[in-house]
Amino acid sequence: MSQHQQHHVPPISHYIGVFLALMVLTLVTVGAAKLDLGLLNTPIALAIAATKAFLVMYIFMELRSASPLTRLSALSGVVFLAIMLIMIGQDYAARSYMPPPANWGKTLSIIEHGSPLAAPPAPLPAHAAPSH
Amino acid sequence: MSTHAPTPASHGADDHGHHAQPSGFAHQFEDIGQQLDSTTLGMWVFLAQEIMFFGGLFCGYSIYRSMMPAGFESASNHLNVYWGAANTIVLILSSLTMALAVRSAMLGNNPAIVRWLIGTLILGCTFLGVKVIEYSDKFEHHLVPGYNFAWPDAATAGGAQMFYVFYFTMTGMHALHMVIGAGLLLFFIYKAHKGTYHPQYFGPIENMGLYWHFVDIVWIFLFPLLYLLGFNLPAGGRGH
Repeated sequence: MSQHQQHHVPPISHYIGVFLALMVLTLVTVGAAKLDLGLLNTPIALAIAATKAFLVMYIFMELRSASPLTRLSALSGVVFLAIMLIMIGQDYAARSYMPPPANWGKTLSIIEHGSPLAAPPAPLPAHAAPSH
Repeated sequence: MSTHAPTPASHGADDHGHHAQPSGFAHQFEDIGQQLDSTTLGMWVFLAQEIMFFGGLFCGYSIYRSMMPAGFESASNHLNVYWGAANTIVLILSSLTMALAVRSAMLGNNPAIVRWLIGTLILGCTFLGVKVIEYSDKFEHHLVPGYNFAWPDAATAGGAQMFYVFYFTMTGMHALHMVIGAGLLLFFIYKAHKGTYHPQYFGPIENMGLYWHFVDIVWIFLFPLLYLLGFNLPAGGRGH
């Protein structure tokens, strides 16, 4: 049912190496933020953070020796996060190009009086009784 | 979690030698290896859900930052990068001690687990202590939205206040995870002290490690996005 190889336990030096790499990347991200790179500052900071996160997940969280199913479920969190960020991002990015339709926010009046696209809404008489 | 629960007689021929199973074995699993695979998978699914939880906050941050870039930059300039960087180092160091605790658990060395987990706990509390210093500084400098927010520049006041909304929400949720993690650490220190773990049963320590490393990863993204925005700007305005 499950793989039964004895768990390979890496030497301590292995973990120290990853820790030192994470320290160096932390210093690099602070140093890069000190420079004015214009629009590139944030992508560089995120790329360094993603590298650090990958190191932590691959070595410290042992995805290196994890089963394919475990790796897949780890990846699924990242994939669904990407879907959320991309779809909400494109919505907000596109709003300035595509103004909302003229009847936006008039759902209630559509329900009460029919769609304004079909016929112009007739002004109601002052004492209109609800018609059935 | 009782290991040798008496098996019903109906189990009969299917009884694959429960008495041979190591301690820590839960009887609903086929063997201890399947138990480890299942609990690890369950933990990763939980963490995928946690990614979505923090992802919502990161998403809101991105949208408001794209709307109010100047306010976010000048507000970020008021965070102390050196406290933030020091906390990053403390947290990564705590991830190292946590990873070494899991390594000790794989080797079945319970006294070493206790030592590494205590080290992790001390570093986690150090992180939270620095957070207390930073938060109290924000209260003193009138940077708490909805409580005493005051900003000298009317043009960026809205964006700056929004930045601090995200700063307190995101670091607050992160700190809550740290507090929960510290409580879990206390529990596992107690369990390891009792000599619970051995080379075939270390899943709980491994899952504790997965949780702790996840919280570390959240901070790895929070640090550049919150502290380093206006780092290249000259320190202006009030404060430092």
